[in-house]
Amino acid sequence: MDLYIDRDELGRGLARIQGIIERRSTHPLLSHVLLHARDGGLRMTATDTEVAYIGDLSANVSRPGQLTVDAANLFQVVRSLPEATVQLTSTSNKRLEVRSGRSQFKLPGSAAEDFPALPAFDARGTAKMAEGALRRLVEQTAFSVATDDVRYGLNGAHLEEVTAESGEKRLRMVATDGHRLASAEAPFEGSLALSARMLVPRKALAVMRKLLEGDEDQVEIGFGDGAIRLSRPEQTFWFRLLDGEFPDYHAVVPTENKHRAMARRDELGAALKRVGILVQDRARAVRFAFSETELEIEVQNADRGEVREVVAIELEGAAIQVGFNARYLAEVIGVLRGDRVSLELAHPLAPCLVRDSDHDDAFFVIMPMRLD
Amino acid sequence: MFPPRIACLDLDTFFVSVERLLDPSLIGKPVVVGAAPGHRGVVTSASYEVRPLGVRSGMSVTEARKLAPHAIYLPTRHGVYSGYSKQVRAVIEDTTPAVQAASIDEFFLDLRGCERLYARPGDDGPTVGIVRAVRELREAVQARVGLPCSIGLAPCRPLAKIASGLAKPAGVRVVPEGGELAFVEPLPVRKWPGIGPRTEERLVGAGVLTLGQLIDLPPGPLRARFGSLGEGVRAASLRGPRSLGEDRPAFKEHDAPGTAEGTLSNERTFHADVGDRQGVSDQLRSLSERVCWRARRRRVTARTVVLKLRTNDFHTVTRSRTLPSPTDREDVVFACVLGLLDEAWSGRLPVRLVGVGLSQLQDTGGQLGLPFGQGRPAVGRAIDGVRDRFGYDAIRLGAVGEKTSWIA
Repeated sequence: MDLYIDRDELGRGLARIQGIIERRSTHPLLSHVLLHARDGGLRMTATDTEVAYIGDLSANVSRPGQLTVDAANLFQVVRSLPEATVQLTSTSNKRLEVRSGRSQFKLPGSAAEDFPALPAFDARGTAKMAEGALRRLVEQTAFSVATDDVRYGLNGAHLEEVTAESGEKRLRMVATDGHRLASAEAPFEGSLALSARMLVPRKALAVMRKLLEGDEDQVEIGFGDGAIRLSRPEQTFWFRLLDGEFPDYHAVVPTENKHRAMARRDELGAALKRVGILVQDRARAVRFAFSETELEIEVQNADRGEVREVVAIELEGAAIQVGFNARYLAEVIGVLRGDRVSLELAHPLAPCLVRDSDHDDAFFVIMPMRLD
Repeated sequence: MFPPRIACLDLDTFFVSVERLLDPSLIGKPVVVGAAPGHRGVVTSASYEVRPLGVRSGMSVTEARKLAPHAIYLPTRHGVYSGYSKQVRAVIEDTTPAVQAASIDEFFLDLRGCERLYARPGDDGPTVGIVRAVRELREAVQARVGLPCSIGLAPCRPLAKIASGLAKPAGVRVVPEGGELAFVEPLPVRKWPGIGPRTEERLVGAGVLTLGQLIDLPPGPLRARFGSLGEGVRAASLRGPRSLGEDRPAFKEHDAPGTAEGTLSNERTFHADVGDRQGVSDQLRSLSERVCWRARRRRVTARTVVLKLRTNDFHTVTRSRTLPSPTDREDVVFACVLGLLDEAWSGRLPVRLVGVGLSQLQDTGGQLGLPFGQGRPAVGRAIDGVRDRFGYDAIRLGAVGEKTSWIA
């Protein structure tokens, strides 16, 4: 292998795979990237056997060839190189020479044949969606996915097809950790070959967030047997789905809410941010007192001090006091887009529905905490 | 603020009163019920006629004879009194269904939700009707069973208990909403349930005579010594258990909300050793349920589940497993316990004792879970609600066998 490549192009390519490679794996080559120099460019492949990625970079290849090297190591080296052009050459003893200007690295590598097999993928159906829209689905839900929960079905995001009131077909992504729930949806074209027990794992969500860089560009979503593949120009990414049962989440979305408060999103968000300074302990309930025109947020915390915030609201229904984990609410406010948000609930121990006044394509449910 | 809705009904000199019911010639005479003549034992009940002489239930009969040599001494007749206790309970149940027997002669009643039932036109507020109902109940127990009783009505359980004592004999004492501290403050320290003779001695020795003094200790060595006790009295007066589900103080303290230290465990010795897996697992299911209920009350979740097993040769095994994430759910804990049972028990020897424990506790701060419709949580919450109000044993799950779903 012998090629010339733009340093920043190579750096961007390596940055994308840092979230895929497995640094703490028992299989040493799972921390490697497979470099494949071929006509027209350099192909990079990375996998942890559950998630796989192939990306093509433009490069001037004079001698094709393949080699694997430690991906984190190579990334650090490339970022530090002095000149804009980089030469990559494989040596006969499985080393990768990296040259740029007057600096020269020799990194240990392995034969391409030793690289782990990629997970198989056979598409049963495909759909297309704007990259920005799919990224939004991930951003609005990923924070609610459970971490290593004993209820296995909570450890990934659930996908389903829904029809909006306008008749538009949408892909909906739902996540819950048992205390809060997030649901977001976006229109698609084509067909979703979804089946039950298909959950997108946390890691895949994190990778999607990073790889989906565009806004209006279309990303192709392929549905395989227990796997999903995303294709965008020069990049393909696929992952195995978790085989877990997502709970019937419709039951926890409250519909009969006697109390409904509207607030400006920026004001509420800023107040929650300040409140968060004193609430390090997530097990501490913050008091939210809703009255006709004001929401009073109060934390009494002997150790770290006290804080009281007042946010202007419009309240329908009687005044009410509710305890919340302020972080849960702050995270939801952080992913909403409209100017105003609504908080609706039936009583202080009932699930609270949080929505954006301008968008019907996302909703959030937060379970209160007991106050006393 | 909480209106007075918890009542404590205490039968006055219960055993003596029953003896007088059976033999009216004892009425008006000094009577002591305790050990049979010539036997050693303690006084179980003493009539008001002998109390000025210093005779108290709990003291030895020998001592009582010295103080009141002319009183009539009767043996405690087991099996006789409980029938009267049941009759009293039946009368109480005509007033409110929420009754809990604290002992053979003491009952707690929860009158929340009964306001409209007892309201009459012209009443000044809902409490008027409740107080009237309580007075009528006292009279009904006297009229229908023939036994005198006293009732304390208060916003919380410890005050209801104290008030019933102050109402004796044959009276009703009400602690009004907002009057909790005014009620407690003038009382001698010994009146507080939980302050026994030893603590009383220490307090009185330090010059603390009333509960008011105890609550309001000036800063200094006295507060350093008794401040937390005073704070506890104050807190319990103002925010004490408002329902029957709260367990006795020692137990409650043990399960104080937010306490993540230590472990939670429940165990059970079989009446007869059990050799079949089904029998053992049924008991483990019930223990898992109980220990998870306690975890939820304590507002903690647990990372580690512990099984304790003692076979009839007194060999004890404990096995534990750490879960990937903390839980307070009995289905999760029970599934884990069954796995541990397979590791710990070959089935060759019958089982004498089983226990289920939770450790590595984490404070949940009262965070509620989303009520996912299927399975335990929604129903479980309703069950927890019943138990919090009426006590753990007020409701039982009907699951049979391991394969049955947790809740039908």
